[in-house]
Order: sequence, then C-alpha cells, then structure tokens
Amino acid sequence: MPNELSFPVGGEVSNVTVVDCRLRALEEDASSRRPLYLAAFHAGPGARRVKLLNNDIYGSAAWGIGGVGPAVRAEIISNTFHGGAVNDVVTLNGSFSQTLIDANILTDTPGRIVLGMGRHNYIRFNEVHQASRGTWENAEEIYLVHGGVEASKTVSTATGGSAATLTDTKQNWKPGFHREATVLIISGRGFGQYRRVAENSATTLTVDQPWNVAPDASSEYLVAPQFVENAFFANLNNTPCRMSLWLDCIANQVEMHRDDHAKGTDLWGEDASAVDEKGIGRGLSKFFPAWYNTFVNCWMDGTALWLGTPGAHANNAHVGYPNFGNYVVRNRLRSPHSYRTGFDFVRPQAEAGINVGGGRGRAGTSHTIVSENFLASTYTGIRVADTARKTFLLRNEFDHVDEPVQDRGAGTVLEGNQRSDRRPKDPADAALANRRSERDLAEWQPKPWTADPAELLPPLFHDVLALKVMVSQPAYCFANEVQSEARQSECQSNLKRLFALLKQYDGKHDGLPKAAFYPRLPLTSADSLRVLLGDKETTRFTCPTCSPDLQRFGLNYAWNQKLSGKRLADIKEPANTWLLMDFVGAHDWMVNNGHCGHRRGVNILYADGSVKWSRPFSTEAWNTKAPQSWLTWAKE
Amino acid sequence: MNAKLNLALALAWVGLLNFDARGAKPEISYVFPDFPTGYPNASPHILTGENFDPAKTEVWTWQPRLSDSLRDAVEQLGKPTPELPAQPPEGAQRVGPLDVERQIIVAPLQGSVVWVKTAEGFSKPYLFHVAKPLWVSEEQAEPGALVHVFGFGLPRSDWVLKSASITLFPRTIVEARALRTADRRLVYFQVPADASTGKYELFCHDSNGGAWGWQKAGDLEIVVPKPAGKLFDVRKFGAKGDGLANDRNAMEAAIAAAQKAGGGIVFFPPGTHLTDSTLAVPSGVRLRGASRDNCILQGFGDARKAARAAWFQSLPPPTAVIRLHNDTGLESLTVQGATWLGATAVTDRSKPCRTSFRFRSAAR
Repeated sequence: MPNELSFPVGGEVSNVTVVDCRLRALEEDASSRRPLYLAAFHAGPGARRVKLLNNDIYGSAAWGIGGVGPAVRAEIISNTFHGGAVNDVVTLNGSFSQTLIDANILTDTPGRIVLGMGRHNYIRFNEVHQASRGTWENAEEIYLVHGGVEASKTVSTATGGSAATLTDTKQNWKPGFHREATVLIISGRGFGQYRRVAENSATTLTVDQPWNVAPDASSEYLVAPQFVENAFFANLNNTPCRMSLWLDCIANQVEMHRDDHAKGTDLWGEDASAVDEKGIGRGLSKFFPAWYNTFVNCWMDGTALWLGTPGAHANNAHVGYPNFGNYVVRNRLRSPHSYRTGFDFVRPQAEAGINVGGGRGRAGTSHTIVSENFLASTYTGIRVADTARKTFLLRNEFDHVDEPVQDRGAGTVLEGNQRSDRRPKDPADAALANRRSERDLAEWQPKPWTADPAELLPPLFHDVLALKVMVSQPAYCFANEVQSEARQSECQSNLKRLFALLKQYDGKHDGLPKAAFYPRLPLTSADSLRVLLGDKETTRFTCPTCSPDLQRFGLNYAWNQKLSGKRLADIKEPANTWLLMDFVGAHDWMVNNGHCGHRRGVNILYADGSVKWSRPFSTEAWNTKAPQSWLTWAKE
Repeated sequence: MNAKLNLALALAWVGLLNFDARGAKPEISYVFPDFPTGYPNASPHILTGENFDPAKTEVWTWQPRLSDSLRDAVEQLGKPTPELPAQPPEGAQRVGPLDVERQIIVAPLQGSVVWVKTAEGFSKPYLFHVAKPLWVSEEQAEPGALVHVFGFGLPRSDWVLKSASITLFPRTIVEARALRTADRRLVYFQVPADASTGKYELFCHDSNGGAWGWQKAGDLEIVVPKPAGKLFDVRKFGAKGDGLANDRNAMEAAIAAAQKAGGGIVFFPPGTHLTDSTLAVPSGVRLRGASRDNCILQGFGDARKAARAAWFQSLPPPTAVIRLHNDTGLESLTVQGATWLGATAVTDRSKPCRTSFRFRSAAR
C-alpha cells in the first residue's frame, strides 16, 4: 500500500441523509477481474450531519479523509457492509466527533472499522463477522483506533499557567493550531487533568473548562488531537482479529465487548522518547498516552486483554506515564489462548487472560485497576509485567487457573482475590493472599535530561523552504532598525573575538577547523565550529539579532566550508575571503523581506580579521529564478 | 565554627522545608471515574491532586439529597446554586484509601462530593458522580420529533426542557434491546407534541449530587414543521428507465425543475436509469426511488479506464454517480458505480485535491 493516496475530496458538506439505499462501487477491475469495491460512499472532511441509515453497502464508506478536522455528528446506523476490497481498504473509516455508529454489520469483507482522532463518539451494537484479512502484519486488527499522532503533538514542560490557561514560552505555535485538541498534564502540578483546547496563541493554550489545579512551571504536558471520551458498547467481534485502542486514547469506555475466539482486546500507550548518552532528550513528541480507559463487562471467550506500553524503556525523557489510570473491571475471560489465526509472531504475554505492562525498563504503566474479573481455564490468569507500577488486583475470581497471578510489577496491591475451584493446600493460593509487592518503586524514577535545541525547533539549513516558513513568523524576526544598530556592533565584536579563537586554532592545529557550513546539531555535532573551537561562551557564537529561539541553537554563524583545514596564511586574498557570516543572512529571502539581519544585511568576518556589513546578493532572487542562489554561493 | 554554621544552615533549611509543607493544603485536580458507572460495589476511584500525605490522609465523601419530587427539584434550576460545603457536613462518611501517594489516591468512593484531609486541613470539595451529558443530536427539532443525547451516566428519566416561561418534562424512550447492563450513554426522548416553539435549555439529573447535580445537556430550539416537498417524476421529464437509454438529460431536467421550485423530491419509478456522468444534487433536492430492490441508478462509461484511474492515481475517477450537496438526501435507490459525497453547496463540482493519508507502519 503506498503511503500517499490521491483522493478527490469535497468541501464541508452538511445535512445529507442517505436512507434505505443500496450503494455499490465498481464491481471488478476490468483487467485483472479482481473485485474492486472501493468508496461506495465518501463524505468529505469536515462533513456535518451526514447520515447513513439502513443501507446495503458494497464497498467502503469513508468520512473525513483529508484532514481538515473530523466529521461531526454523523449517524451511521443499521447498515450492512458487504464484499471484498483491495488489500486493506478500510470498510468504515473516518475521524469523527459526536457521531453514532450503531448496529452496523460487516460481513464478508476484509476491511475493518478504523477510527481516527475525535471525541464523544458512540460505537455500539456493531458486528464484524468472519473476515479473512490475510496474513500481513496489521491484518490482525478489526476494530482499530488509529492513534500515534506525532507530527502535530507537543510534549513539553510548561513555563506557567492560570485558571484556564497553560503557557509554554518555549513554543511558537501557530495561533489556532491546537484548537479542539486535547491537553493532558502528565506530571508535575496539575497532574492527571485533561481539557479540550478552546484556543491557542504562540505560547499559550486556553482550555474550555477551568483547571481544578492550575499548572505551573513544574507541569509536564501533552497537547495533540486525541481519541477522547468515546464509548464502545456491546460490539461483537467474530473474526480472527482483535480490537485495538492503539495510542492516544483518553477516557474511552469499552463495555460488553463480545469477542468470540478472536484475538482479544488491547490498549497501547507508548513513550518512545529517550535520553541519549550526552543527557539530551530525544523523540520528545513520541509520547502516546493511554489514560483513564475502561474495559467493563466484556465477555471474551478464547482471547486475552492486554494493556501495554511497548515504548517504555530505561531512558525515557518524560516523567509522565504513558499508561495511567486504566480500569479492567468485571470482565469474563475464558481460555485465553487466542491463536486460530496462525500468525507466526506470538507475543509471550498473550497466554494470560489479563496482561498489564510490557516493554522494558522503568514503568510505563501506573495505577491500573483490575477488579472483579472472572478468569477461567487458563494457565496464567493475570500477568503483571515488570514495567507495571502500582497495579491493583482486587476481588478477582479464578476458576481452573494454574497460576492465578504472575506478579513482576512494582508495588502491586492484591486484595480479596480468590479461587472459585478452591482445592485444599493448593500452593498457588499463596499468590492470591492479600499483600503488597515488595519491589522498590524508587528505581522507576526517570533520569534528568536537557532539551536538544535542534529537536525542539524546526531544522534550519537542511531545508531552505522550512527556513522560509520559519522566518515568515513574526516571533522570529523582531529586530527593528534602532535596536539593530546596537546589535550590529555587538555582533561585530562577537565575530572579532571568534577570529581570535580561529587564529589560535590555526596556530595550534596547523589549519582552520574542519567544520561544516552549518552542522546538524550545533551543540554536539563533531563538525560544529562551536564544538571544534571548544569554547563554552554561548554569547560568542550567537547573534543578538536573532530571536531567543534561534539563539538557542547555540550557533548563529555560517562557516565557509571551503576553508576547512586550510591554513590562514595560505589564503590568497584574505581581505576578500569570508570566514564567518550571520546565518540569518545566509538566505536572501530572510534579508530581502526585511525581517531579520542587521538593517537587511549581514555581518561578515573576512580572513584578514576585518568585519564588514553588506548586502552581497540580489534582492529579487527569491521570487524570481534562483531561490537558493545565495545559499549555493555560500556553500561553494 | 564551620561545622556549627553548617548545622545552623541545615536546620534552617529543614525548617524552611517544614514551613513549606505546613502551608500546603491538599488539592483535588481530578476524580476518575467522575460519572455514575452504574455498577454496585464500585471499583476504587483514582484521585489526582497535590499535597496528599502518604502517612496521614483522610478521604471524606457525602451524598447531598435532592427533593423526592422532580417538579420540586426543578425549582432549584432557576436559582443560583450555593457553594458546596467547605468541610464534610453531617452525614458525610470517611473512606479508607487503598493507597496514597503525593499526587495520587486510590479509594473506593460513594456519594458525590469528596474532600481530602491532611494535617494541613481539608481540600476544597470536588463534585463527581453526576451525569455527564456530552452532546444533543439536534439544535432544532419539531414538536413530536425524536432527539437523542449522548453522555456518560445519563439518567433514564428526570429530563427537563426549560425556557424562560415554560418547563417541559419530555418522555424518554427506552430501547427494547436485550441488555445485561443498562446502557447509560444514549437516551432518546420525544419532544412533546404540544410543545410551544421557542428556545429551550435541556437539563438532566441522575439523582446524585443534590441541588448541584443538575447538568445542562445543551440548547434545543423547537420550531414549526417544514412543509413536505413537491414530487418531480423523472418519467415526466423523458426518462425511459429501461436500462438501455441514457437518462441523464431527463434526470438533470427533473433535478433542475425541483431546484427551481425551491426544493422538492425527484422520484424514480421502478427501472434502471443510466447516466454517463455524475448527477449533481443541489441544495434542497432529494432523490427518492420506489424501492432499492427494483429501482437502479446505474453509472456507465469507460469502466476499464475508470477502474484503473480509481483510488491510486491523482486522476479523479469519473465514476461518482451522484454527488450530494448541502441539505440533500437519497432514499430507496440502488446506486451502482461508485459514489461519494462531499461537494459544497456552491460549487457544482468538487475540486479534486491532493491529500496525504498515512497508513500506520506495519513494524511496531
């Protein structure tokens, strides 16, 4: 399946009802004779009140693909979906909000129900029957909540907050970008609260309801579209596949899910951030929560329930838990072996009825409540993995279970668990006695780390277009003419001090540093001029014209790469050969538009030690023929 | 001397810490679940907040009472709700927590108001276990219409439609489905047939939370019914419906006539109606067939080209049989070919645009 599809989408249509119809897409591919049930029905993104009632649909129905926001207030009721589709064309697909998906039947289709990010949907009484989805890797999913939002996510620490706001001055969001997203406080003050974002400015999120405890500079938060407060009720899965709440799920409810020898139900949270060997946080947006979800009264025959955090490992950068406060209550699980699909990758944890935790290292799962469940006819009843912290196993009942509880978690609390097939002197009963796990919780404390500016901010010299977009945002470009005068002289003295350092380096190493034009990571890359010169004085490498966000890169000057390794004495025309220049001037678009730089020019350090202000390039270059001319010139 | 100074500093530091701790009252930021779950012997709740004391924390809960008569209780709706009591009143109960950390308490909670107490005093009260309505299906409804409400822990009765001068008690409709547990998430009710038109607010109360338990579900405007649209039979516009002739012109003429009349129903008698290009249905027009079993709208054209162009390529597949605009409908028809919806009301054709759709990575 290609990663990108072209798809004709319409605008934001509203108030459309399709009732009692039979919709049939193209029946077969004329050349291969394969069935080609495609979009029998498609509502464009942002569609409102599109109702699909009691139809017979041969093909798929899709809502809102294209991403201007979820379809709102759709009603998809009592439809029957038939027929094959190409590979994995999802049968019922969309990002919805406030939508009712009720009493639909999917039969004889390899497609599936896939839900994107949205809130307050109700998915109930649907049935999926006997779909053969092949043996490819995601074929095992039939109800899927497709989280994993990374691109539009910020996971960071606030710098402040008020009754209805959260402020992070490190950010530079586009105003309105996070509207309708969800903000969740994952650690620090205000921990445990989530809110809908009503509006956002460059640095502040305004939430729809006031916080009960306002965040402050200790609050670690996440903001992104999430799958929030949706409910699944009495759906049937009669396939060899599973129901998967896959990442970014907050406060959803799964009740009375019926799973008949299928592949079970799972809930995924993940924190794939890490602290590298230099103590710098990486992959900060790779935090996908699974918080406050409930699995209640589900009847699962031959299958297991799994709440995992595959991304939790020893070096997570974030303090918060990816899985927190999930409930597994009053479910009935029998014979959870679940392998009639014949897939050859077998998760070792799947043989237990209820599995809490997963992954490696420090805890990814905390405060899972597993209570009043009934587990029967299996080897292991409840497995608590070593990444699970504070799991509460309360009043569960086990019938013909060899090992009722396998507890490797930290701080697990057992209370009132019992066997209904009690046999005298059963050694396994000791495992069920009321107790608290002895394992030390302290070892799960995360390590301290610092932010990597190159990761926090968009890339600079790697992508000229990104640069253009970035400087078009006023927050980056604050120099006015008067301030610029003062800053220009400050910048020039910086360059002069750098020349002294370069001369020193040249004398010591018999050549100028072998630095890159602009390094990938200015603070750490081996080819960074700043690293090579070994000078810790930050202000010397940053230009005062640049905004604090650009200064945080730690290096605001571009290096003439042609001179790397050459001796200063060998340069033929030192007065005309440049060594360093302002990087804001290294793209003509920035300077032409008067946003940045010293009075629309740049300071340049020449090989004879002189520093001059100049505008060395064509001002019309960007909009005419040579958008990268200056950059190209500078690099060559 | 140095040692003494160090000791003094250390003591001052400890004193400072103690002072900080003394000033910090507990605060509750969230209680989960915060809606009535509906099962007895509730599983423990998770309370998050600040300044809980693992060594000594008390949790108190209270169930305020509401008048037994709904009509009396409704009186409360117009009046300002008093503050919740700052401390547990008489009748409140102390609950033994299962586990206390600095920011997290696990405790089985009854009632609908909770306080946490440490040596520094009581937290502010926190209201929970009250109905949590999330949306109402309609913004406007006619008298007698069915409206549904989605939320968590919704009551089966005790719904109130209230305007400035009128209070209505709509009848809820319990679905006849065989449920093992009550579904407390979707409630249907009928707008009273004799309801006066006007703007109303919809409230519910699930009997928890006393006077504080009223929750507003949304606004609803009751409006006069719209007149039914006129019928336009495609045969009268020259459609054959024989599965051989191209009926596109006739169907378009019927649709145009309906549009000109300010909206209406374009009716298709039994038969197979062919079209060689997309039928655009403008705002206010509905297409209605006799039955989906005998009334077919069939798109035709170069099927081979269409199949190849579909889906994977940037060409818009020329196979949409019907494109529906705002305020339109499709009823009792079989539509063959491929259809999708999505054009806006103003544009006749939806512009194909490039959009990216990322499939999740297979490798996890």
